[in-house]
Amino acid sequence: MSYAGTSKGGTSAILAAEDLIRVERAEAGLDSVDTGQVRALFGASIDRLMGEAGLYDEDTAAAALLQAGGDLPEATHLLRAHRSTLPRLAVSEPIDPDQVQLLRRVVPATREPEGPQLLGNTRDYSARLLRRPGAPDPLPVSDQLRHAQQEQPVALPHPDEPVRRFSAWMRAQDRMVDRVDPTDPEPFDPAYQPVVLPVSRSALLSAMAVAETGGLINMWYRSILGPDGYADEDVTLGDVRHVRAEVRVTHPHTGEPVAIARIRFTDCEAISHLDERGEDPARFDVGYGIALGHNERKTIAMATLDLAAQRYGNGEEGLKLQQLLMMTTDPLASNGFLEHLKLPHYVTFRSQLDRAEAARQEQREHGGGTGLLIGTTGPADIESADTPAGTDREGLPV
Amino acid sequence: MSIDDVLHSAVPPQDRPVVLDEQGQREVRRAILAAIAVPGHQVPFGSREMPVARGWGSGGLQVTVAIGGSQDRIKVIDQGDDQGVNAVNLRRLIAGTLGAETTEDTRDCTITQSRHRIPEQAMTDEQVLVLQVPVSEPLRPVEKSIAACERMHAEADYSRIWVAMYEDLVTGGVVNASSGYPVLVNDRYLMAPSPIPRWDVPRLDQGDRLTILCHGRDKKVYAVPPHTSVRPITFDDVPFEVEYARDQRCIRCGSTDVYLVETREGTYLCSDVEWCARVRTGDVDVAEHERQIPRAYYPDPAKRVRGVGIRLQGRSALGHSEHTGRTAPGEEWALQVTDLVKVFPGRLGSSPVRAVTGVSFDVAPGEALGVIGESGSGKSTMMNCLIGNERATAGTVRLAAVDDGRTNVLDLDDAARRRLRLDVMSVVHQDPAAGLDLRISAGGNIADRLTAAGWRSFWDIRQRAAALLDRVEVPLHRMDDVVGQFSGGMRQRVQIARALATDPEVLLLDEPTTGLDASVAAGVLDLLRELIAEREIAVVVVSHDFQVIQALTDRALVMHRGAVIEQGLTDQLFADPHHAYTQRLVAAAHV
Amino acid sequence: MTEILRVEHLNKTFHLHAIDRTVVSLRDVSFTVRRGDHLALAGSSGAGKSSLLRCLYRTYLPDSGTVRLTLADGPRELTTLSDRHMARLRGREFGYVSQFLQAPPRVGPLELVTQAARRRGLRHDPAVAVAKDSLTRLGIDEALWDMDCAVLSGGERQRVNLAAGTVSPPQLLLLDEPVSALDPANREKALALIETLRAQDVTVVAVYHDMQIIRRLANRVLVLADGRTIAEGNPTDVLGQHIDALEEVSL
Repeated sequence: MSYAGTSKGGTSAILAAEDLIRVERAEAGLDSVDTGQVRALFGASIDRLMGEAGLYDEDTAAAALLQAGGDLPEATHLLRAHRSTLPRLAVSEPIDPDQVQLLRRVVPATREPEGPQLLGNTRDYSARLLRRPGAPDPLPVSDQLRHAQQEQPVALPHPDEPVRRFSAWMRAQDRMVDRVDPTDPEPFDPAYQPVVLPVSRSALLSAMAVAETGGLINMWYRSILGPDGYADEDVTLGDVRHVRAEVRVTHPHTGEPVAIARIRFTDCEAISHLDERGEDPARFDVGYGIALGHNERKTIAMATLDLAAQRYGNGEEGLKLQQLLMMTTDPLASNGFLEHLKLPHYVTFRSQLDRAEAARQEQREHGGGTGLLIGTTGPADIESADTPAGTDREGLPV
Repeated sequence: MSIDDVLHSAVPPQDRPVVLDEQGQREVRRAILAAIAVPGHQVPFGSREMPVARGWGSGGLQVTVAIGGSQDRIKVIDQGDDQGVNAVNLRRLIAGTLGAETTEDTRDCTITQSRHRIPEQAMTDEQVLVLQVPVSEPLRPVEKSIAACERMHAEADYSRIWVAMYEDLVTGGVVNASSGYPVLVNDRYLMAPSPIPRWDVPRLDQGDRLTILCHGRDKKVYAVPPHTSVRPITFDDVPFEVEYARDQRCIRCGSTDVYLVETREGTYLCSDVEWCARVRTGDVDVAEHERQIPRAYYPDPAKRVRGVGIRLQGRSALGHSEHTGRTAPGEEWALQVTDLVKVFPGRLGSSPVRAVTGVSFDVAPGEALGVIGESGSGKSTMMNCLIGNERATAGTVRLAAVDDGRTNVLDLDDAARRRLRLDVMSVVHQDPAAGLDLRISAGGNIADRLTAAGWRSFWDIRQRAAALLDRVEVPLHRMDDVVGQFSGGMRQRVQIARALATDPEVLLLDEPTTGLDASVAAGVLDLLRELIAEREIAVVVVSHDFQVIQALTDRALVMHRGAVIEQGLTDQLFADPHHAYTQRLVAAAHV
Repeated sequence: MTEILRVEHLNKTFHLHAIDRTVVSLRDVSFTVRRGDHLALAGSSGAGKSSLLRCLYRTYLPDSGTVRLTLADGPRELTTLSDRHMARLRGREFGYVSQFLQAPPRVGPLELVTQAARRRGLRHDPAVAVAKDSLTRLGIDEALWDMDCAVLSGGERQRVNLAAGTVSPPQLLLLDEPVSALDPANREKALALIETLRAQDVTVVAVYHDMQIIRRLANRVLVLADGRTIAEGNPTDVLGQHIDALEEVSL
C-alpha cells in the first residue's frame, strides 16, 4: 500500500501509525504518566520547550512533551498550535529586570560584582561521567571534603534590595555607549506583525526569544569557525541570571497593576569593546538575551547576536544578519519544512526525470556532449572572415 | 589533613574514573611532541570529548591527563584563582582520574593547568604549564577562511596582523588587541597565547618552563619549549603595552607590580590569589619576581603614536629616484615572455579553449609595452598567467630580478609567485576592489604591501604611504579614510600608489582606466604616464582602448584569438596598421 | 661633410582591407643627407612629402628599401631596427615635429617642453631652464606656461610643439610644416629659432609649403611628384626649374 495512495488507504495508514505509538506505551505500562512527574524529571526540557513555544505553563508543556514522546520540536509544535487557540486577554506591564528574585547569577566579567556570584542550580561544574542507576558516584564527595570545603553561605548586606546588573555599573562609569532608540518604543509581536526588513531591535529580540535553541547557537558558532563572521568573537558576559518575577497586568476595572502570575526566565548580557572602525573605542556595547524558563545557552547566543545586530546596524552585513535571525531561526519553520520532504513528491520528481531523460537522449545522439560547437568548426556567424590560419580556437580537437 | 590529601585519598587506583583511554592519551602525547619540536605551530590532534564541555578546558584537561600520572602534583587555576568554581571542578576531576596530589603552591607543583593566567611565581625547567585555549587561531580576526589562515602560517605571511594594528593606530591611537595578544614564537609562527593578559606575554619569552597550549574544540595543540623567544607583534617604533594601573596596589597584600583586577569600588586586587596570600605572609622571593616584571612595557602615552606625532611629508619625501632598472645579464629585458600558451580544458558543458596560443615579447626597464585587443582576444588570460592568477599551459616567463632571469617563473610554486608580487612585480587591476581591501584605509592598503615586504616601522610606513598618496593626488586628509568611501577614480589612484609602494621592477596595468568616467580616466592616464616617465620600470599595459595604449606606450602588440597578429611602434600601429583586424580596430577607435 | 642619412629605393603602399583598395604613396625614393644639411621636401599636395617623413621616422613602415642612419656610434638600418631601439632613438637622437600638437590633457606648455628636454637626457633643473628659454624665444606669454595646452590657440600650440621638438635638439630632426598656422610676426620668431639649429649642428629634413621659407632655410631641396623624386639640388636651381610641379604651392 502506498503511503499516500487513495484517501481511504491514507486514512487507515495514519490511524495505524498512531495506534503503534499508543500500543508501545501501553505495553510499557506508561499510558497514564502524571505531568507532575514529567515536570520533576525533565525540568530542563520543559523550560526549553516553554521558551521556544513562547508559552509559560509547566503543566501544559509537560503534557506536550509527554504526548510528543520527548521529541522537543514536536512538543514545541503542539504548544504553538495550542497557543493559537487561546484568546489574548491582556498585555502585561513591562517587567523591570532589576526587580526580580535571583535563583542563579554569575558575572564572568568581574571577580566581585555588586551583589552575589550565586552558582544556583547548574551542572556546569559536574564531571560528565556517565552513571548508571544504582552505580556509585565515580567521584564521590566524602564527608571530610564536604566539611573541609564548607563555604560560609553568602550573606548579602541588604538581601531585599535589587542587585544592580553589571551593565548598569559599567554605564555609571561612562564605559557604555548609548543605545536608547526612541523610534522603537513598543515590543514587536511576531505572532501578529509581519516581518519587513529592516526590522527594529525589538523585533529581533522577539524573534530570538522564541527561536530554536540549537539554531541560535549554531548561528553564533558559525561566526566562530564558519567562513563568514557576524558576532564579535571577543565577547565577555556580564550578568547571566536565572530569575523569578511577577507578571502584572492593568486591572480592567481599577486601572491598577495586579500580579497574575509568577514566571521564571533566564537573561544574559554580552559585552564587547567597540574596537571596530567608526565605533567609539573608549566604550563598550551590550547585547541582551532572554528566554522563558532556565536556558542559559540560548540567552548567551541571543545576547551575542543582539550585540552583533546592533553593531552592524542596517548596513549590508547588518541586513544579512537580520535576515538570518528573522527568517531562519524559528523551530516550527525549519523543522516543519525539513520534514515536509517526507511528503510525497513523485509528481514533481517525475518532471525532473523527464528532463534528465531528454538530456540523455541528446548525449546519445550527439556524442560526449560538451557544447553546441563540438565536432564542428563553428557556425559561420561567429567565425570572422579573416581568421588567421592556426589560431582557430573553436576548432580544437577534443 | 588538607583538602588535597582528601581528594587524593578519596578513590583507590582501580576505581578511578577514566576520562581518556590509553590510546587517546598516546595520540595527545604524540601531538605534544610535535608541538614542542615546532614551537608555536598549531598541531592538529584527535581531540576527544571530555567530561567537561567544549570551551571549558577540554583541551587543557586532555594534555594534563595525557602527560600526568599519580606521582604528579597538580595545581589548577582559573583567572589566577585556585578556588574559582571551574578550577575546583577541574582539579577534582584531574586528581580523581590521575590519583595525583594537588597543590596551590606553584613552587610545589609539577604541572599547573591554567585558564587565562601565568602564575606570578616563576616556574622552573622541571615544571609544565598547561594553558587552556578557547581560540587557537591568531589570524581569525583578520581572515575568516581556515584554508587561507593555513596558507598564511605556511608562508609566514603575517602582514595583515600588522595592517590591522596600523588601522587601530590611525583610528584610535592605540593597538586594540587586548588579551590573547598575538605573538611570534621562535621568530617563525604567529601564536595566540591563549587569552593571557598582555601582562603575562613578556613572561612567556625565554621562560624556563615548558608551556603547552591546547584547544580541545578546535583540536589543536601547540607549545612554547623552555628558552624560546616569544615576541609580541608590534611595530618597531610603537611600544607594546601591558595592562598597568599606575599608582594602584592590591588592597589585600599591597603589591603594585603584579596583574591587578579591578573591584567594583574602583580598587584593585591581585588576580593571582596564591601570590597574594604568600606576599602577606612574606613567603615570596622578591628579587626573582622583580626579574619577571614587564616594566619595560608599562604604558607611556608620550610614546604612543599620537604622543610622538611625526609630521608627514608629501611627495617630496619620495625624492628623485636614481634607481636604474635591472636587466638580465647580457640582455636588455627586465621581463621576457616566450611562447606562452594557455588552454582551458573542456568540461561537460564547455569546450576546450585555446585562450593564448604562443605569445612572446620582452620589456626593458624604462619601457612601456602595450597589448591591445578586444575582449576575448586572450590578453586578459595572458596577463593572468603573468600575474600568477592562472597557471599557464606552456611557455616561459623570466624576470631579471629572479635569479638573473635564469628561472622560468611559471615553474615556481604559488607561494614563490605570491612573494614575487610583493616587490618584483605589481599589478593594477581594472577593478580597484581586486587590488585593494575596501574595508581598510588608503594608508592601510599601502601598509599592507609594505608590511608584507618586511617594513616594521610604523612611521616609515606612514611616511611612505603619505608620500605615495600625495604623489597620486589623493588628498592627505583622506589617507585614513576607508577606501570603500572613495570614488572610482580615487580608488584607482590608491591602487596605483599601492602597486608602486615597494618600487617594483615590473608593473602590469590591466585595463587601468576602463570603468572610469572619461574625464576621470584622463586624469588617471596622465598620472600613469608621469609615473612611468619618472621611473626606470618595465611596464606592460593591457587594454582594449587604443587611446590608453597611445597615451602610455612606445610600442605595442595586437592580440586576436589568442595570438599576436601584429606588433610595432605604437604610433606606427595606429597610423599604418597592416593586418585587417588592426585596421578595423583603428577605424573603430577613430569613431 | 659626413653622411648622416642614406635612403635607397624606398617604396610604400597602403592596403586598405576594409574597402579592398591599395594606395601607392612612395615609389623608389633614394637620397642622402649629410650632417648639418637642412633638406627641404617640396611638391604638391599628395606628392608624398609627409609620407616620406613618416617612413623615415617609421610612423609608416616602408614596404621595401633601406633607411640608414649614421650617428657617432656607427650606422643603423632603421627599417629593420627593433621597435625598442627605434623608440630609444626617437627619444634622444632623432626628433619629429608634426604639424599639429598632440598634447596630453592637462599638461601645460612649460611641463610639456621640460619633459621633452628630460627625455633627451637633461636633468630636471637644466631642462626647465632651456624650456623657459625656448618658449620665450617663440613668444609664448609666460601667463600661458602652466595652462592646459588644450585651451591654446592653433598658432600657440604649433609654437609649443616646435619648442618641444627643438629644445635640447636631437641630432636629426624631421619637421612637417612647422610654421603653417602662424601669423607673420610669430612665423618670423619660429623661423629664427629653426635657423639656430644649424649653429647647433642639427641636421633637418623638413616639409614646407612656402618657397620663400625653403630658400631662406634649406641648403638642399628634394622635389617629389606622385611619390617619385623628380629633382634634387640647391633651392635656387631646383625651384626655378620645377615651378610647374610646385605651382599649386606658389599660388
